[in-house]
Amino acid sequence: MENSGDTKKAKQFERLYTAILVLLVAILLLISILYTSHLWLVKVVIAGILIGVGVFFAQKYLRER
Amino acid sequence: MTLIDWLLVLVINGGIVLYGIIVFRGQRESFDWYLAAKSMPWWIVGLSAFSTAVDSGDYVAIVGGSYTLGLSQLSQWWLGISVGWFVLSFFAIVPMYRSGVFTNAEWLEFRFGPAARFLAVLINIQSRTNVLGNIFFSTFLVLNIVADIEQVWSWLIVVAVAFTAIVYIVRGGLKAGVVTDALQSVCMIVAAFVLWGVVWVKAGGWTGLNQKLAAIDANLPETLLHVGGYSPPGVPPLLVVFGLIVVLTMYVLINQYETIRFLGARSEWDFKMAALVASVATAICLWFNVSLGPLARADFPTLEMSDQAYPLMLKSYLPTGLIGLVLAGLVAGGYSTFDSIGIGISSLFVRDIYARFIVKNGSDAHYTRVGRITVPFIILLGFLYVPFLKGGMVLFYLRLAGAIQVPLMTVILMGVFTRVHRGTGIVGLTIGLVYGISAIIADAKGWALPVWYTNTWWAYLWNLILPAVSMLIASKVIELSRGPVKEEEIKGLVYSQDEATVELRELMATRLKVLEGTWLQKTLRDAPIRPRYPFKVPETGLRWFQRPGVWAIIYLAIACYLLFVLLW
Repeated sequence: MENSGDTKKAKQFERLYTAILVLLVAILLLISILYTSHLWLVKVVIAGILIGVGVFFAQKYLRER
Repeated sequence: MTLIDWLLVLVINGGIVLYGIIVFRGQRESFDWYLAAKSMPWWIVGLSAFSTAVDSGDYVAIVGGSYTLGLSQLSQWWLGISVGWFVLSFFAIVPMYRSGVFTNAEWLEFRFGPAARFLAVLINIQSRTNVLGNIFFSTFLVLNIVADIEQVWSWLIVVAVAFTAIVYIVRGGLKAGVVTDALQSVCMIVAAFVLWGVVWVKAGGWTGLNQKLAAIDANLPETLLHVGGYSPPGVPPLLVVFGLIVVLTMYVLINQYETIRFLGARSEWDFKMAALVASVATAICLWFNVSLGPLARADFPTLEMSDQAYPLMLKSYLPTGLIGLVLAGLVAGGYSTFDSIGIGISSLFVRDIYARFIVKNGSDAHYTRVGRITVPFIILLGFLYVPFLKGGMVLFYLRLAGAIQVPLMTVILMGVFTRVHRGTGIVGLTIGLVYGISAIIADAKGWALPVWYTNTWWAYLWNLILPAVSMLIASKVIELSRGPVKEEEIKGLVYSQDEATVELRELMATRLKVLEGTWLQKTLRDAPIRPRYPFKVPETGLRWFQRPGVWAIIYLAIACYLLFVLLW
């Protein structure tokens, strides 16, 4: 059985990990606009949603650190 | 494909795989490794059931299939699979969950004897390794066609994906598989939506698609854009739709890798709500994938191999960045099914073959270790199917499923819902398999037998009727000599409103003499009893929106209206 300290630490790690991963994907999508501007708006919308999700998890991580 | 596309595929899938490896480790006890300690909430189980059911093979094969079969395929994904999930979670799994078994084949032995258990394992292995072959081949097609990667390198990448899936499932067991599945399901839905959205807009929506198809052949819109539009000679359209519904109902009911994640739920309420989540996620994702088939037909009307449709659309319509995103979702679909098949078939092999017939008294850690070792061998078996898939993955799967897997579903349903005798299971399975295999051989050899005997779609009907009727007759015959089934023979094994109790667990542990003193007996006795609800039920009862049954009826009513009224 995990103790509550370990559980809290694991949750913290999961939040940070998710935030970094999601933001990384958003950045890569935005960089891809440099390759071609074809359907750029679609990429910006998806990246925007991902940034929103990333910021949400990052804030949760920082608040509970 | 450019570097940025590859980076997207790598970051998204590598990120999820790494998460599975880091977070889920040290599952040493069999109850934790195989059943995630029965701790999972409804939404994770539901998303996992969806992403397990829909794999990269489905992205490529479903688009390839609906290139020929049109929207008729929606019937299986909107209705067939949901009926399967609802029947499983509301009825079939209830006795399995309460009795403490780890696998559906294990329950089959208690209900119908060891031969039924053994055959169920073989059928599961055949069916799932066939699906693995589909995933390998479809991933290869995408890499080869979209990315212009040489064949050898494409195959090496497929092997690498399979290998990394093995790593996290071996370490983390069911929990690693289910949680990563839930993450992968998000990527899969996004991937399906992005490609569909772009192609749909460019085609000019429904009207534009109709016009494009009519320009190729005046009959095509009628065939491809209606659920009841497709039927081969000698087969009524309704029978095709019926077959498509049965194929996925059967898929859910017989497959241990679907059953096991429902068995891993933290309560009975959770696995019922999970069925709803899985149905909704599948309906959304598969609308995108199925309707891409007719869109592909409008753009590429003369494809030699229909399974090329998806990769060609990907390449033709999407720019850098979005190709990577969609491909990442496709690869995620592969991962989510690799891990599920790995853990599902491994649990079958260990509990139903190895611990049952080979090594009966090992330690708990021994059986977990054997489970881990089995995973890579199962996944490698899928490569044996690849040479047979060139004629279209869906059609090959449909042919085998109707003939071989439907009899098992019929036997499971008879076991859950009727009081037929224990000895009848093997009768139903044998009759169904003999008919199914003879129909395949007759069809392949071109024997002069009527179409209602040999055709794929008719097999779905006969393999429901023949095993069920033969089991009822066999049960009546047994009754003549032994009398009706005794209550203690089927207590806890058929669907009932009874609660799971310690007495039931003890009955299960002592029911089969052959399990005396074995690891299987110990795990049956020790498995903790989980509650019906994960929350306190108010004295006034559940409110309407807390009732899974209400949601299931709403979902089915909407699906039936869309399929049989709006799109028929």
